[in-house]
Amino acid sequence: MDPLPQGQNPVSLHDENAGPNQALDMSQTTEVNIPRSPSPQTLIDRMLPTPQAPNPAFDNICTEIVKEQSRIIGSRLALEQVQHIDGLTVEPVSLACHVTGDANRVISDIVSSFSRFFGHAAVEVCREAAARYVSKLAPADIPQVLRSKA
Amino acid sequence: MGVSALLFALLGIFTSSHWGWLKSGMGRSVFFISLALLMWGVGQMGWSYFLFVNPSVQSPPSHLLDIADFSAIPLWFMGVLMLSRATGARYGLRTRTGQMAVILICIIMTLASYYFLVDVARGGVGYFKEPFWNQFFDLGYSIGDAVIATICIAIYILSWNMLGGRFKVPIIVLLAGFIFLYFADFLYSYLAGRNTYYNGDLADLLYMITISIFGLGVNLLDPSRVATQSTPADNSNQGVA
Repeated sequence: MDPLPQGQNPVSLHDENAGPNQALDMSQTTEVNIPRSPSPQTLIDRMLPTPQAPNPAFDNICTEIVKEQSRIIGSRLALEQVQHIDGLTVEPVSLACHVTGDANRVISDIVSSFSRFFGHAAVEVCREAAARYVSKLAPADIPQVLRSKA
Repeated sequence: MGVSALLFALLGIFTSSHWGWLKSGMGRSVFFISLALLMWGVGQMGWSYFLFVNPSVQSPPSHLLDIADFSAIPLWFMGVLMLSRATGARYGLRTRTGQMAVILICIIMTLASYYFLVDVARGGVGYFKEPFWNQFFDLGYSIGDAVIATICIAIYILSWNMLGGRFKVPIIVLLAGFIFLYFADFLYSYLAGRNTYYNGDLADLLYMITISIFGLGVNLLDPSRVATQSTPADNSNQGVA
């Protein structure tokens, strides 16, 4: 912006005839509260679904799925398929499961792992195994992968 | 042929160890199918022995070999039933369409088997005048094959839209092996009934193909080649809801 020539007053912000390089009278500015942009982590958290609170029913669901699959493919293979899933701890001998992460994602990962063997047949086995505990959950809490097709 | 059957059987029994031997459904299935193959191989080895002892006799006069061969039927039957659990066939059986399909398959296979195994292969009801043990081993083996083939067809149809994943092809290969066995036994019965069978003819070729298919199937069911991944598998083609 060009320096103000001597004797010339600064121009109002609202002066439509003001030239591009004329000094502006900043005393006429009004405060505008521009909200700060949320942090990237906050934006990510808003986009992700709300993780479900810990629920013993999900532990039972995972345990029954792993046990039922072990009856078909064996304990060793069943354990191999789930022991690397984040948010899930499995007791090697009894195959008892404890969900420490997002239950929806954990159960989905479990079903996906077993479906690598026999496809949709394994998914149905998982649904049947979990049916007893799924029926005790509220409809909104039932993991998507365990919901029966309409 | 006997040596091939024994080799494939031993490899299959070893493969069942990867599934936990008899502690899992798949382990029991692979074990019983392989054990049946072993018994069949023993019968064939005995057949080959008699062939070298007296080459002019095409079929050994020993029912002991028939017992070894016949013992494969119930073992194959159990193996196929155990296999059906992994394929999801029972879920297909819960629908009215699946139940009707099974009934239709049973009717068709019963009529077709009676026609092929009694009328075509043995010249009709006159066959039932044969000695009892001849009838028992001839028809018993053929009926056993027909029952197993019927179950295999039913399993395939019921699990049509269920079976997938890594072991879809090996299971279908195994089921196809039992269909080949059915036709191989029919052809042998037909040729033997007309005294035109000779060692190394078309029936033996079908048997050899059948043994090879069984060997391929049970060894493709080896789970040790499935890599364990730390991230979930891709669900794009596996029917996950």
